[in-house]
Amino acid sequence: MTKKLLTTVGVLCLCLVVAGRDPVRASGVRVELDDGTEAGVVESFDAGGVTYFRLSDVCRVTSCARHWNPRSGKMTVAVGGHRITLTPDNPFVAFDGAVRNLARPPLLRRGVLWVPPSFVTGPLAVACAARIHWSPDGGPITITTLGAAVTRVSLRERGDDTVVVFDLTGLSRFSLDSPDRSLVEVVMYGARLVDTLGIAAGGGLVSSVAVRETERGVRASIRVAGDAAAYDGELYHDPPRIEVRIKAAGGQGGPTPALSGIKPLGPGPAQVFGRVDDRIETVMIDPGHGGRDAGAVGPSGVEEKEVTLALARELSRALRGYGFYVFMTRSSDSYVPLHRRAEIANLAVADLFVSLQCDGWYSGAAEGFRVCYFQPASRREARATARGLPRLMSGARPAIVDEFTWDRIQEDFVDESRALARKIHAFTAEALEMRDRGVARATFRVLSGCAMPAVVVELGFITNRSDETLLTDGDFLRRAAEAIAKGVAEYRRSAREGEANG
Amino acid sequence: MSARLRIFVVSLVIVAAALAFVLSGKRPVEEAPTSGVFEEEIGEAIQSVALVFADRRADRMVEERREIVVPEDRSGRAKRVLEELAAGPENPAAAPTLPAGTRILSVFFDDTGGAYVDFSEELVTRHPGGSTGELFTIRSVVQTLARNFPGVKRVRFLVEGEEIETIAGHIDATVAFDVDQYR
Repeated sequence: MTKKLLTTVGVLCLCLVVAGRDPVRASGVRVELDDGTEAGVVESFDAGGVTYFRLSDVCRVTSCARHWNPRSGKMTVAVGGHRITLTPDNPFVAFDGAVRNLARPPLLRRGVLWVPPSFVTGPLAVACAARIHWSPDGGPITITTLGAAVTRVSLRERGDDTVVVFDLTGLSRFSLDSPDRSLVEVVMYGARLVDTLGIAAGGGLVSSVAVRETERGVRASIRVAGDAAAYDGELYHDPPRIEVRIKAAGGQGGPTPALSGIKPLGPGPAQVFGRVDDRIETVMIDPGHGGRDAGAVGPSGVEEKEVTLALARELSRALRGYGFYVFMTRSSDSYVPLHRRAEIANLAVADLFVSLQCDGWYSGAAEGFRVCYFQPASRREARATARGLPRLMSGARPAIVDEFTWDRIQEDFVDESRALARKIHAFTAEALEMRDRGVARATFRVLSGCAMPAVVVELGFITNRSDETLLTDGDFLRRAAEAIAKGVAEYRRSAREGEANG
Repeated sequence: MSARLRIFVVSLVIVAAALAFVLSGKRPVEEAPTSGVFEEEIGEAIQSVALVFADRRADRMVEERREIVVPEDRSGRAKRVLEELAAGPENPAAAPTLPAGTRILSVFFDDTGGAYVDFSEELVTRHPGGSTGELFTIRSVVQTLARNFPGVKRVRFLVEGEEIETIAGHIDATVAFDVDQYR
């Protein structure tokens, strides 16, 4: 019996090893810029008739920065002020907070992320302000830069840093390079000069900026003073401009270069510009219950599902006011299963998940609100039930049973979720005239599959007459939504600070 | 109906027997062990059981002790105890934790400390909802079983013989509830 089991496990392991060594028949695709110059070669491989490109190569030829978050399993690509977040095996990508469908998912093979052509010719091209063309019949990838004119160059002091601002008539792909410690070179591809520009006398850390037109576009040479140490740059949309920041040596408490994409002056590897970090910008709001599931019902017949949707709309408005991108797991009176709600949040690559609910009781005696975060089911129980193998559990257990299942992913985010719950609780407790039941933890089914910090707000007992009256009051819901949004914004602030300090 | 009648008759016999016992003065009933089964040939006994309810405001657990007639086998006894729990508290300061009309279809135990309780559909169809309501339902059943049946480490909820995802949309019921977690 044991022998048979061991053989089975052995065969399974072998299968896993073989599957992991997926034969990748790599080949290369040339990349040409619109001026006919070659920008490099992108490694590619064929998966089921679709050509995939190696993301690191794609980023190199388009001068994008990228950042892999091993905990959330997200890859963020940043270029020109845009951010695209990809997850392996998920055809949806987040593009500046909006969701785009690539039709085919990025693939993780041999520790390398591969992207379909739809990523390169779609979101990436938009982010680079370029037209990127590639035909499956073969031939090179061509990148056509959308031309823009440089209208003005100016200098600005920002704290200890000096910022060189290039005003443009449109978006332009650009690159940064520092051939030596006293020089930063900016190339704005396909751009023209409207006038002869140039700042003879500099200011701050910049001693001079020389701008000239070349075959490939506009080239700006920024001469920097001796105490300049690092640089980065970003493309902004409104108004269109490129800002190149020169940082002083020994700047106080700034983010570490490796995290932020800020590069030290002097010759180095790939061109990096645009800050890349783990920003908190997208919130998935989950209005509890809905459709055939009315949730708890109040003494005068108010249904929980109506209250949660009304509150979600208010919260959505409030969060947008704080600059968040907002999605909802449902926006009408429809039934959405619990596991589907987590899936929606994961597919949208949301950074935070806020589920809105009301509490219920057998009589009108219970009242008040509380904020909850996830409590993992005891490991023993989770395992005993994980794969329907309770018999196997008590005896020798093969290691594969210990694997993480999809609906245990929230266990990775309990600390952040607790912090988020505490922030939201602090502001709601201050703003609302409702009994405060504090912060609690429980094994919420809706939270268990969420791959991000996630909380449940139980805003009052709908079964209590006075709570029910409050929950039907538009002004109360607005104040509650504002307090929750404040808590979320405060969490974002403290997470940023934590990152900068840690 | 005839089964009810039989239970009634049997109960009468037990009460009479217990009365005779007390009157004989050999063994006062106060000294009877709480889990004591002292009418083995009949297979039923009076047992003092601990029922765990909630307080009215859903703040904490409230224990209530009750003397009930229970069958001798463990599963039957557990079913009786939970039926008593489903009937609700006598203490006016306590609140029920199971929806009115909920029946206990069966209870069984495995040999690793697991208990399985099969409820009628009223558990989910008539539940007042809310995570607090659900948590008290779970805690009350889990703690009532744990207090009266030492050795129970976890409790799995079934409804009409089927596994459920949650009772009313909140707490994950796809795994068993741990006695230490649901205090």
